Amino acid sequence: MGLMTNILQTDLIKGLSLTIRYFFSKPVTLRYPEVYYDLPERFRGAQILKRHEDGKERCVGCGLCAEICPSRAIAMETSEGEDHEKVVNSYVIDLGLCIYCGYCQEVCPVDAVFMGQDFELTITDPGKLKVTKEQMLTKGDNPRYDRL
Amino acid sequence: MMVRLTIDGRQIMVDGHVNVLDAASKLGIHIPTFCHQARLSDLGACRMCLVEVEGMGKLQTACTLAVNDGMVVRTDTPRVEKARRMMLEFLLINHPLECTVCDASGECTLQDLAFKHGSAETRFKGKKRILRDHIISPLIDRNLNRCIQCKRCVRVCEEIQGVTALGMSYRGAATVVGPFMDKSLDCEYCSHCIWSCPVGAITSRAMKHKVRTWEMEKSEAICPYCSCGCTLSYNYRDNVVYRVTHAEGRGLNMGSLCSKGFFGYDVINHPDRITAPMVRDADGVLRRTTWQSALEEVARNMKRISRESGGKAVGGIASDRLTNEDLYLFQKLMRMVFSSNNVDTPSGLWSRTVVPVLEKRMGVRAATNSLDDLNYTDALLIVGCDITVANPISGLKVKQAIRRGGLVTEVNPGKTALSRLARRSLAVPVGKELALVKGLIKVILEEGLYDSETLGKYGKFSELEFSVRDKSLKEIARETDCSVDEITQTAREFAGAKKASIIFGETAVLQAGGEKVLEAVIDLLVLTGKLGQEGCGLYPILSGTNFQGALDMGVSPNWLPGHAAVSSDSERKRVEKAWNGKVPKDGGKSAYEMIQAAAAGKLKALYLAGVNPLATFPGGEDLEKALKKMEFLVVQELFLTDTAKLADVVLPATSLAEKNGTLTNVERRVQKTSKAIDGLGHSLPDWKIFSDLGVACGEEGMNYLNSSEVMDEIASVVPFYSGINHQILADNGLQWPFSRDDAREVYHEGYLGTRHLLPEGLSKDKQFFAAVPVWETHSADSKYPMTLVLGDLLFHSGSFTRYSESLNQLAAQATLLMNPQTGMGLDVQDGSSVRAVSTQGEFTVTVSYSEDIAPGMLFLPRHFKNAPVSALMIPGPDDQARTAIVHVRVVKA
Amino acid sequence: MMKSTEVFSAKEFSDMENIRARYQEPASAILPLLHYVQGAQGHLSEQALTFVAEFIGVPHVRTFEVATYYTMLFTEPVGRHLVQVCRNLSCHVNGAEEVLQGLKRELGIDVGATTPDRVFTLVEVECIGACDHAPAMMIDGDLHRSVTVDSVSRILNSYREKP
Repeated sequence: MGLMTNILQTDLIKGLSLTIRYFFSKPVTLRYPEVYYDLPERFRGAQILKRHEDGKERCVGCGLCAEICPSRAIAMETSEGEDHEKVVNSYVIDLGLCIYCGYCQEVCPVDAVFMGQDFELTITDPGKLKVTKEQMLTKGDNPRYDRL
Repeated sequence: MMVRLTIDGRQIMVDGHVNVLDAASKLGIHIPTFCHQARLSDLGACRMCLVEVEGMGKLQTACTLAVNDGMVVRTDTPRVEKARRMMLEFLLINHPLECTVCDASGECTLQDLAFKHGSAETRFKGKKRILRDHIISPLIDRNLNRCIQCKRCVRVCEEIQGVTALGMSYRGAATVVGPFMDKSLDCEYCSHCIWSCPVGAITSRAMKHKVRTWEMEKSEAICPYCSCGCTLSYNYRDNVVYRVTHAEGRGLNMGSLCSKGFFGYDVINHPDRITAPMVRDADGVLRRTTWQSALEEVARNMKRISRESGGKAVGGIASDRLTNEDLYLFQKLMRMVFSSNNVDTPSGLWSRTVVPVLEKRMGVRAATNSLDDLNYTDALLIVGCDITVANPISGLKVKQAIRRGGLVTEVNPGKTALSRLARRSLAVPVGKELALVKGLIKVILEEGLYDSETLGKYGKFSELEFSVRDKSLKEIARETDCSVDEITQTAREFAGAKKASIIFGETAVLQAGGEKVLEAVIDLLVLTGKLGQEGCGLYPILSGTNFQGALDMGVSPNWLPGHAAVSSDSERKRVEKAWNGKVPKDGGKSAYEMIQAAAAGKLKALYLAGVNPLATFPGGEDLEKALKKMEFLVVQELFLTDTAKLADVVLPATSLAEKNGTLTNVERRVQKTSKAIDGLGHSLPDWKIFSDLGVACGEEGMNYLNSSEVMDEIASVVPFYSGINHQILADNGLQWPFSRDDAREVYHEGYLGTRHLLPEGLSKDKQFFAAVPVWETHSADSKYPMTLVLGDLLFHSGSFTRYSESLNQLAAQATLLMNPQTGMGLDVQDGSSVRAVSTQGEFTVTVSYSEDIAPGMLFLPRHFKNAPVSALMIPGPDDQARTAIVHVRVVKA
Repeated sequence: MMKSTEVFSAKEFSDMENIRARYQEPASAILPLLHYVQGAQGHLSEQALTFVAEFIGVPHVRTFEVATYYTMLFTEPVGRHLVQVCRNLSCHVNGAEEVLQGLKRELGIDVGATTPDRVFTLVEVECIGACDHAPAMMIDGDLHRSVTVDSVSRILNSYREKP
């Protein structure tokens, strides 16, 4: 038995046939970063902020996201504006603290904050993990979030 | 009468005057309500507290329904629940759903009840009512659309504050809450309306949109702004105090606050706070440094001067805003480490004029009674004190007495907020208070209205009779600008009342011969037998936050802690033993004497803790020269004040919100104030600085772990504080004298200290009358004919609150107030500039006409930079220093 | 304290004193006094409200509350003649709406407004107690019953010249 196998090299052929089969089939992996995986719609990446159609921010500064955040990643500063309205001076999410649970999106009463598709968070300066309101708004302006 | 009723199947016995709502809450059954609030009259406006009562067909409002014997109430039936749901549905027709940005969100009764009882759907499809609104005040924000017409703000404004600035105007669906003519709000900014609003219709603009209610933590503390000692609650987030809230039902104020307490918190996190020690370098510039080097600098110089020139060349003045622990360590540091009895507070003048008289006549050194007694007083005489400004919350108690029918007579050189409410407001010219009090005594003697018990003790009042013989009532009336009838009526009311008290303040006493007014006032109390019982007593009121504590802690040139005389060998020995150190023998200099000694070059080093003499001390330019002449000046402050800019070393201290300690209020109540936030930057609590400095001087006896340890030492040195420690003060303040034995009572009997002094009456050696003659006031110097009263405004407290942006919005500038009649006599118009000149100095200020000021009198607030009152006030030793009343000349500028 | 001469003539002031004297509690005179002042001056000015409040010793806001509560008291100046049209049930079914439209047309103003010559002010009121002759309207103190669109102009004209 062993001799026959040795002579005919059937193991090798079996192995090679698998290799050849996969060589000609469609690859499972992606050539990241040249090619991106098509993320599911409800993927929970770094947060984005949305605007109204007229360009005004949707966020009214109610602070519910900061309150519900289990890891206290959201810090918010608000004040009274010129017309006595509420103005959000700063809205910072520390992505280093964020656990991507999506509660902020869930609780937002004005549909301002959403979990985005952005997952590339590798940075060299930890300070950059603190994302500002402006950065999140710019991300939110990306057409891929138009459905939100 | 007690009645028994059944609520939700449970029986309870309550007083017959209680309503069903309060009876239910005693059982722990919460009936939802909007319009009901403790201390307010009940209205039944909101219909939220409907309950089912057996035998009554319709649902009843629990807040207006008095309990009845055998009543059976149900609060949990489907019918009640349906009624609640419907009421909420009605309210939410028009209430805007903007909880996301509403500042009341999180503590809104409507929000809470809608969660609990409301339905998620509304059956009303129409548009919401939108009312035209506008800004009615810089600090109080009104939002008419959110208003649910519960009328709590209107009632609290009238019933508690006695101002009635708010009303309900228009009607039906258009009803709005607002001030007169719906213009801007002109009121005392007491903040009660903000407190009472169950929704977000009235909110504070000082914190508008800055923070959400649930983000903040709360910490109870004592208000730093006057001697009333109100309990308030600091609300903070991330080491920033965002607002002050009322501590419902807590403290002697029951939660009530005044404008200063509620809006004055923004000094705490002010951007100009000093956050690191500073030492003047070789170039003469103040530079930031470390605590260690700053303290070494202070220790080296103070020790050197004390060694070279003797302890008399060193002095220290501490603010009466500091805690007892701070003040105690301050005087210990000055006395033991720097061998100097030159310690004083800005309120020292009061301690040395008023307190000796109290001591001599009654054997006490503080107010005899509790502030709560004022609530129930039948007759009250207020002499030379605007109680609503000096002690706004004591003022509220007086207002309550007036609402209960108490007969309040005010003797002031002008009109105050009480004048409109009080039975009688006598505008007695400055210097004539004595004549008026003597007039009252005369009436009482002539009509035989005196207390029979007193007569029994004294036999006859011949001395007193002799002292009022020379002047007829008519003459007195003419002199005091009152009518004979007013004087007679006041005397009769006072003598005839069951509970009668006298309040007196600065304007009467801090003027030439002011002690005599006090002597006469005590004569009046003794004569009518209004001493030593609940509701009968004397309240000497000064506004300085901890002026009583400063005196008790021995921050005084002549007194050691516990009112022990420095001159007494045995007392000194006792203190020395406790400290394991030396106390100098000779009496020290008062604050003003220290400045004078500095000008003469005799005082070389001065330690100022929390005081800004350039703003509040007499002397003007002379004072500045004296401070500049100082060889070594240390200023321990929150801000880089004008005085701090002259200092050699500036040490950053913390505000009251950033430290633990105790304060003693005007009614001798020792209260604990707790730290809310950590000290800003490198600032340290004052006691810690004194302690560290003592250690830096090589004195291990000054080493303390915390302020509680300091309090324990105070208890061992001050006999009447002996039962007091931080733990026992945790829930309630205690009124001294409070011994160790009393401490056991606190836990067993709920004993809260000595409510009133002199329960046995005056001791044998105090049973006499001073019988000062009706005082002949010397006529004013013709060069300086006008009498200027230097006083406080309701919205400020010393020069400290200048740093509060909110309070500056209410009053930012000083104007010289005068009666239009006076103005016309001087030919100065409302709004024109004048020069005010006293023997000491002068400055230019704007005139403002006010009907509240008596003709011939002037009033100037002493808080502001644009009117540096220091330039007008006349310095000198105690019997000459005049800080409340100054004679001036007014010239057109 | 305001002086009476700033707002009132000597006659008005003495009348007001008489009104106040009728009541044991001065504060009780609030409504009669406001009514009187409105009659004498046409409306209740800020000064008048302030003075009346001080005159009877109540807080200022109290007179404002009362003055705004009643539709018959005005805090803004009104025309020389006040036209009050009932719009309650009886009048409504009998054509009050047409009468009101007629009045609006005739005066050229909306409800609640005053004509530019300051002669007429038009307001709607609830029942004025003349249901038996609906639709009814009241001009100053006079009741006009069974008003029609055609009679409106005649009635108004009879007032134009009146002081």
